[in-house]
Order: sequence, then structure tokens, then C-alpha cells
Amino acid sequence: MNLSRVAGGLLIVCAVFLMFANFFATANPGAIDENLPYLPPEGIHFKSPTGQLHLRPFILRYRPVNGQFAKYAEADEKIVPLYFFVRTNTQSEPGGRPAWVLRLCGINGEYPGDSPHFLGTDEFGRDVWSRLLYGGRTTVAIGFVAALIASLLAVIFGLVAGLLRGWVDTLIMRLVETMISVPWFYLLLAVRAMLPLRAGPWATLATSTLLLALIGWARPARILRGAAIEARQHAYVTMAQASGASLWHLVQWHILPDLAPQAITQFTVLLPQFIASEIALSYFGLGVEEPLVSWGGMLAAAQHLSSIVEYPWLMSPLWAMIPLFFAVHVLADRYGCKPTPTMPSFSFE
Amino acid sequence: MDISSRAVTSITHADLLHINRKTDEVEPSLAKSWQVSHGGQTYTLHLRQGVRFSDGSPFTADDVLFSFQVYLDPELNAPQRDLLIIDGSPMRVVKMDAYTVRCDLPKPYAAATRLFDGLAMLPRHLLEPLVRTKALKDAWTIGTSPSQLAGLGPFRLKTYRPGQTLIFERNPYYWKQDSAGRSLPYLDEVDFAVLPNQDAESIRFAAGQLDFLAGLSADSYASLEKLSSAQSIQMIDGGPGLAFDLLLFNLNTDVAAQPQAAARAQKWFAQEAFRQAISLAINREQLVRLVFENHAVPLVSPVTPASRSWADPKLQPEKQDLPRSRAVLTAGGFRWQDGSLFDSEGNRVQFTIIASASNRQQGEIATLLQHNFSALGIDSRIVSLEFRSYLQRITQSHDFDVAVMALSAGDSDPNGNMGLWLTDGALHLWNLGEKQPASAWESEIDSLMRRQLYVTDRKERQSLYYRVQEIYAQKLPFLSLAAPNMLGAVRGGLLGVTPSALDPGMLDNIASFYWKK
Repeated sequence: MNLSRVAGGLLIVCAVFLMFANFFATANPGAIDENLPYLPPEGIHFKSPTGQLHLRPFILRYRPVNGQFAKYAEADEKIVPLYFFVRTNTQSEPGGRPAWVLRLCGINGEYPGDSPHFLGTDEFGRDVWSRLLYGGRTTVAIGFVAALIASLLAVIFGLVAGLLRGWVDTLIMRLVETMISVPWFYLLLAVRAMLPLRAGPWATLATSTLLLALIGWARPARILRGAAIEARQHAYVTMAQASGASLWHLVQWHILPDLAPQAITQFTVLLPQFIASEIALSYFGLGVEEPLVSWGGMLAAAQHLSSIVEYPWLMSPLWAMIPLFFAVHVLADRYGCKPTPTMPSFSFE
Repeated sequence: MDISSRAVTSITHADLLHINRKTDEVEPSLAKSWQVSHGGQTYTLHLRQGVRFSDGSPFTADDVLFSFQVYLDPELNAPQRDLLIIDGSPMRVVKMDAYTVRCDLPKPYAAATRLFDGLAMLPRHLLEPLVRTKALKDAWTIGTSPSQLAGLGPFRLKTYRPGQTLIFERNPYYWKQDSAGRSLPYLDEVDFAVLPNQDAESIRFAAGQLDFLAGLSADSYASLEKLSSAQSIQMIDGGPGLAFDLLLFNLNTDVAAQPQAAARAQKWFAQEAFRQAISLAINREQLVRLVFENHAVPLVSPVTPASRSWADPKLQPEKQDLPRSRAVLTAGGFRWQDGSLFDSEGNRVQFTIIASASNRQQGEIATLLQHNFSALGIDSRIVSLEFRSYLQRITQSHDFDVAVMALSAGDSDPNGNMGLWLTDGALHLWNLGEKQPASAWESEIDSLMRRQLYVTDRKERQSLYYRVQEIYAQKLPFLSLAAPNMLGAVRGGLLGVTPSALDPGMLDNIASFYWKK
């Protein structure tokens, strides 16, 4: 179907943007420009204010109004052409060792660190477009890794419970029910507050990811257990078993392939859920810490009336999430199978 | 309107003497005059006659005596009790006649008249039975019926709907008159809305449902300011208040079960040179600009400009000076390798900044500080903590490196900062467990602060307090960053609102608010 192609394309575009954030970004995501807080997005133009057409795209700059905070005069008439495939020095410290990166586009800056701001700037004058790319990397990575670990755990526990049955099954299922009934989000907040203070940002990032995964496996495990029980009852499994196949052989050749679509579906359900969890955690100020950028952190900084009303470009991570989630869901629908509401089966064997 | 319980007290009650928020001088209130005798140890207060509580019963010296009895009761342990205990013994209050009371202090006390400001005079006829049955502690809660309440303030409680509104009506017995002899207050009724946060307040205000907002944050102020031309809104920027933001070094010596990293960090913080270098690396002007949108002033000491005559004019906030900061560090034995800072023992300089997750501005300050520190090659991490665990770390477990905090002095007078300066003070946050001053300069601050308490000559007191600030500025046990301005918004036509650094802020002269005809 065409829709799934669109979705696949979208997903690839997203992935390319995030993976090559260095290249697509226009600025260092942490670079503060104290003269340009809350700068509105600078659009890309081809037609100058005088009506002249230019082959090379350009931006028009907003000028800060002297002495006033975050007040900008209308874009002036001066054309600032965009150049492509530029090598930029990201070392902003005077006297620091230069660090060169290749950027997709840039301008002939008026001062070191000057860059175009396609999506405006945040409260510290940091470039929102670049932060969106770097932040998306963090957020999607957390969601992806957490969903992957959770799905793996779900497959393992689901298989063990569904195949071994008996007391192992009972034990795992009771555990699953306990996990599902606990309000994890609040517990996560508590655990996050208890983490050692001196753990670096990467360690806390890893912990948050792992915590999400350790909580998230329970519900899919229950569904996969049902699927494993069902798979086991197929005639070909019984025949294989009758021909003397070992349990491992059955799992490897018959049951796992049967479970795969279910597992993929569970993964695609978990992925957006975990991305949202990162945002929720950061929203409460307990997620990814500066200087690491994440979508949650960006939205958390924008969680007040004035940014929604006056600086809507700070909400850009929300807009970025729409195509991403759409693509994931469409592909899950197409290639996985719909999550079937399986009842926990207590068969009388 | 937004309101705290302190503010409720201040609009429904009155004090014997009151500090004029404009001049910062003490003026008569329920006491129409006072005399000082015995070299500043005895204060004789003459009460106004014919004053009535909001339920109509008369106010006499017996009510004053009763109020002091309540505030000084060790069992009730009222928050006001500490203020009234001078040099270890309580202030004694004696009735001379029905309208005269005498207060005996154990020692001449510098700002004695300021003690009476905000000290609400309580109605004996309503509360004495409760004292006898030991039920006072639970009396006058938010659920008490208005008929059981009485005060001497401009307004009295009419209705309270939990979680919604507090409605106050004009106190018909109020004693104060304006210069033209008209009885105050001008307003017949004041409604306070209970709202969950400042965004909700701003939305209601913009929709015309509220007429007055105080205690605005810079970003709410900015968004209302944009509306102010379209609607008739008057924005109030009262300049810096007594509150200030600071960076607290953990200099506590009683940190339990210290991890090695924490011990290393504390070793750096203990070095005066290190603290100075950190202070020089901070761009306070940038912080004022980006966090407070210019509605704040950079600070050099915890004595904000709101303390008018008490802030040492010789001290000026330092500008960010990275070369000097690096030089100070080099002299202290620190060195750089690949742009990262190492101490003399070869340890990478790394520490964690804690901030309260519920306070947006603190988070922003932490981000900017992190940015400033990275320019020095310091690897700092920010951890936002849920407010209770944040406070617990600072005040109890002392398990942190540095913290971004906000504090506020209780008064513009030096006495309002006693808890911060004294080694055994409750707000001596950088080293709370300290019983004896750890160094000569700390004991000098202690003795200067104790001395100024009993010096009645203003000039001499000033020079003592200047000396305290100079020691502070040299030793920097914590870093004062900025003092946010007092911000508010008033609907056009509501007049008489003036800013005030002391509690209850802009509500202080609520009796004189009026609508333009």
C-alpha cells in the first residue's frame, strides 16, 4: 500500500536527520547567544523584499531592538545568503582548539558563533533547529533502546511462561500482574531522585532507559505468553514434537517465527510510549539533564503560558513527533499484526 | 488576587508600630506614640483610644498583654517567639493603665521598634478561653467561621470557599483614616482567588477576571506587559526586593559517609581561591538578562539594594572575568590539560549542581552557571530534584556539592539576616552543623553581628554591618547572584498599589487601594 511507503520514507528521513544531526544542524546546540533570546524563526526565501528573484536561498534577519529584552524589529531588507556544505568551527571559546565540522548550510556570520535560526531560538538564544535534531537523537535513542530491551524481555518471559507452564507460568504471570498494577510513573520519579548525584548525564540517561525497559516488559510479556501457548498448539508443532524435535528446536524453528509479528507489534507500541515517557520525565524536571539536549527537556523549558502563546516555535518537538509516531504506527499496522486482545488463558490440562 | 497566609494575617490584623514601606522608618500604628527610656531598655507605648476589633469589642492594653503572652508562650512556640527573645531572655510587657503598656528589654536593642511591625494584636475576649483549654494551637484555622474571628485590620473575612476564593469585607470598625479624615479602607470587598499556578493567574487576569497580581515571575510579567497596551493594565516593577538567588557551596563538615568524589569537591570548595575563581567566572549580567529578562539586579552580597542604607556602597558586583579567574586558579595550584581543569593532585574538577525541579528560574540559573563553569574547564552536572528531596539534602543530609537556591531576608534591617550570618543561625546553610566558628573570619562576622544588635547609633551600626559585608565579599562562603525585582500587574483604574520589600509586599497598603471614579 502507498501509505506504508510514505511512512517508510518519513521514517528514513527522520532517521537520516537524527543520525547526521551534526551535518544538518546549523549551530552548536548548547551555544548561548545572549543577544538573541526568543528570536522568531528566520524563514528561507528566494524572493527578496524588492521582488527580485535569487537563485541562492537566503534569510532575512530580525534585529534586536536596543535595550529591550527579546524584542525584535521586523526582518530588515538585508539579504543574508545561505551557503551549502560549509566547514564551521564549533569551538566558541576564544583561543580554544578549533573543532571543524561539515554543515549542510551556513551563513557568512557577523561574529563567531553566528548562524541562521530556521526555527528561532530559545530562552538563552540557542538555536531551536539544531536542538531539535540533537534532542531527537537522545529522545528517540532512549525510546528505541528501552523498547528493544523491553520487547526482548517480553519475548523471553512470554516464551518461558507459555512453554513451561505450571508453577513457572504462575510465578511469571503473578509478577506481571504486580508490575502492571503499580503506578510506575510515580515510582520512576522517586527512583530518579534517589540516584547518586554524581552520576554523569550519560549514566543517568542509561538508568532512565533501563528503568523504562524494566517496567515496560510486563504487558507485552502477557500477550506473547498467550501467543506462545497458541503457537504450541499448532498441528505442525505437535508433529515436530512427535518426530522427536527438542524443545529448543521447536522454539527456534516453529514458535519464535510465529511470535515474531506479535513481538514487532509490541515493539512499535512501546516505542512511542517510551518516547513520551522521556518527555514526561523531563517535563517534571527529572529526565535528561543539561547539557544533553532532549525533546522532553526542550518542552519542559517551554512549559509556561508565554512560550505557548508568544514563542510557539519552542513547541517544535511536538510537531516533529507527529510524523514520527504516524510512520511507526502505519508500519506496525502493515508489517506486524494488530495487537489481539488475548485473554490470559488458564487451560485445564 | 494571589495571597499567602501571611498576607491574610496582614490585611485582617494590625500591629502596634508599623514600618513605612516607602521610607523604611518606624511609624505609629495602634500605638499612637512611644517613648524610650533607661538607655534604650524600656519602651513605653501609648495606645490609640476608642479602637475596636472587627466584631465591635474595644481594644485595650489587656489585648496587648494577651498577645505577647501568646507569642512568648514556650509551649505554643509561635514563629514570632524568636524575635522577642533578646540576648537569651524574653521581652517583658507590663500594663501601666488601660491604654499604656511598657516593654522592658533585657538589653538596649538596636532595632527594637521594628520588632512590633507585623506583630498582630489578638482579641483577648475571643482567644483567652482557648488558651485556658490549651486549644489555641488548633484555633483560627482556615475552617473557622468568620463570626469567631476578629482583628484590627482593614478587612474581615466574609466567606471562605476551600480551593476557590477568600472573600473579605470592609471592617466597619477600622481605626485608620486618610489625611482628609475619611475612614479607611476605601474598598468594600476584596476577593482572593485560589489558583494553581502563575499561568492560571495570568490567564484569569488577561480575561479581566482579576484586577491585581503580585509576585509575578519575569516571564509572566513579560506576557502581561504585551497585553498592557491593548487592555488598560498597569505594570508594576518595584525594583529589587529582599529575595535573592545564590549558589551555595557545601562546606558542611558533618557529611555522613562521604563518597570520595564528594570529599574531593569539598576540598576545592574549602579553598578561598577556588570560590573566588568560581565567582569571577559567573556572568551575573547575562543571568539577569536571560533568566530575569532584565527585571533583577546582579549582586555582590546577600544585602540587596532593598536594604537601602545597609548595603555597603563600596562593594560593586563583579563582572565576569575569565582571565583573572584562571589566574586565581593557577595561583591556587590548579592547572589545565586539554582544556579541562585539574587540581594540584591531578583530579579532574567535577561537581554537581542541584536545583529544585519545580522552580523554573533555578533550573535556568543552573544551566547558565554550568555554561560559565565549562569556560573554566570545569565539568559540572545539573540534577533537578523534587523539592522535598532537594531541601532535605541541603538542610539535613548535607549530601550535595553546590546548590542553586533562593533566600529572602526577613527585614531590610541587618537583624533580618541574623540567621544567615551567625554560625549557629538557622540559615547558615553553607555549614549548618557548625557549632563553633571554623575560622577567624567567621568568628569576626559572629561578633560583629552580635555587637550591632545592641548598638543604637545608626552610623556605628552601619559601619559594623559594612565590615560584615566586606569580609563576606573577600571570603565568599556562598555566591550571591541576583536579586529579582518585585513585579506585579494592576488593572487600570485601581490605584494606590505600591511596591514593598517587606511582607506582605504590595498588599501592605491595601486599605488605601481605590478605584478611580
